[in-house]
Amino acid sequence: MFKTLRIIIQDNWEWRSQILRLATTELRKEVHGTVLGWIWLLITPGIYLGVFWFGLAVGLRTGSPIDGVPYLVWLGAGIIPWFFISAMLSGGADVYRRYSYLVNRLRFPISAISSFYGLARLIVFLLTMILVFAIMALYRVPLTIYAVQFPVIVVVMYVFWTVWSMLTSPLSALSKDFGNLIRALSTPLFWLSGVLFQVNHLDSWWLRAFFAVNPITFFVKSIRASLCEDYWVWNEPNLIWPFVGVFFVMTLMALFIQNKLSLEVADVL
Amino acid sequence: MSYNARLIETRAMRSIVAIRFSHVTKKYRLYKNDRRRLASTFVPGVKYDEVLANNDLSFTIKRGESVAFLGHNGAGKSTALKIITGVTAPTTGTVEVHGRVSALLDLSAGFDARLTGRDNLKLRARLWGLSEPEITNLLPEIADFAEVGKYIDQPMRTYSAGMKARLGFAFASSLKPDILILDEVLSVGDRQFSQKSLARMQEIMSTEGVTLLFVTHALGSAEKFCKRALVIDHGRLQFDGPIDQGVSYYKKSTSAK
Repeated sequence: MFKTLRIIIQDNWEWRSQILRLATTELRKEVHGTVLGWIWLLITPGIYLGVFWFGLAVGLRTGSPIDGVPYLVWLGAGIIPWFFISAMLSGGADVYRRYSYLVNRLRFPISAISSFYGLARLIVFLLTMILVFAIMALYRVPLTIYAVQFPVIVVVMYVFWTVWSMLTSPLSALSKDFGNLIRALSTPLFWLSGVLFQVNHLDSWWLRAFFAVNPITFFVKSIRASLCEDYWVWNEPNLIWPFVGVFFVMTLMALFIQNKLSLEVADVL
Repeated sequence: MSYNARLIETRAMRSIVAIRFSHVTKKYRLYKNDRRRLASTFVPGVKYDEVLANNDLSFTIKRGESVAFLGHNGAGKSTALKIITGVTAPTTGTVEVHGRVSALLDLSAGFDARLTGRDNLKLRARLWGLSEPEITNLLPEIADFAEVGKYIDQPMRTYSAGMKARLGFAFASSLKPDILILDEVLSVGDRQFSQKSLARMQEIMSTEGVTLLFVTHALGSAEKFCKRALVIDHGRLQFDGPIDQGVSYYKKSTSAK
């Protein structure tokens, strides 16, 4: 187990410049040949955010400020991270099939495939956060001292979803059913997280427990905490400890799977 | 599946041995379906068939040798080359590789269809470990050799099979590796290009110390380039010796079937 962890860290360190290169190439691939180029990376989340705002605030009239935070700011601070999470949740779970040439045509450490994919998504995420900061400026929501949590949360988010990718991608490579299952789960996970509504107000304890162990809820809530809801994440034991537990168990599982399957993946693709 | 193999890789160019296989076996497990394969990760005792792609394979290749791997389709040649390249792991045995390996394992050669030829080359060069200025120097030469012309800035999905193969060959042969592995790459491309690639291979082989491993069904070019042949059948080594004898051994074994 520790040996697997050591190998993964070592591989990722040794190949760090190639990982960076692959991540930027990945982004170039997405914008290459389009007229608007990088702006496309902002347009899709922007429209999505607009549609949700329209549907919820204008259509369903639920757009009143949440604990004093303007609804659009609150929504944006949840939806934009969700874009990153959703890409990692489904796309990140199947990176070996998608980049099979890195697995069985070229010499490349397979755990680093998750790292560069995650990095590419993270760059897009940070870019789209511009939208959130712009909306915050528009509503005159100031950044406070709590914003120092933001970079830390971003790093934790990157590591968490990269580990997720290392856990699920070998299984998706072995079985298409597994990959389909993960993709199918992504929509319910969105609706059963705190992206669109406040989970503290739920009545039943088991629903609250479910949301507590849902890592999506943790990331969305802690990003809101740092940008607009203004509190320290570590002062909320109900938020942080279930997440730490989930992260720990997932890491153990990922190490088990990587140890068991990393050599086999090249043979099944 | 448990792997019990030893892999020794160095960049030691002083070593006389470039590649050594000692009792290398590669097992592939074939499951009836994906579900069983997935289940086998978590529970023991799931049924499967076993294929020995390489079966107790032992040979030593010295630095500077050029060796043809001959055998029928599915004999295990490509598996052995993949093990040397390091993209697949042997199940048991010991593999030694001394020197940097550049391999062209198949014709699509690990290019990303959505990237342009230039971006693909840059990426591959970067993965190989070249620095930015080295890449800038090398790129025009590769594009020129591959004769892709203006297509170099087009996505590779628009390339013809021949263009992809040419770019792959041009790239793999331009890296100045210590060990060059070519898996059936000369079977495509027009006459003119294969002449050109043959000339390029001749040039590479005249370089001191480059080891060439060559899989082909074109026995003529094997005889032209290689001094030694390994004939593999059903994953086992059937013949190891001078190329002319190897070719006639292989021809005999084909006609016997």
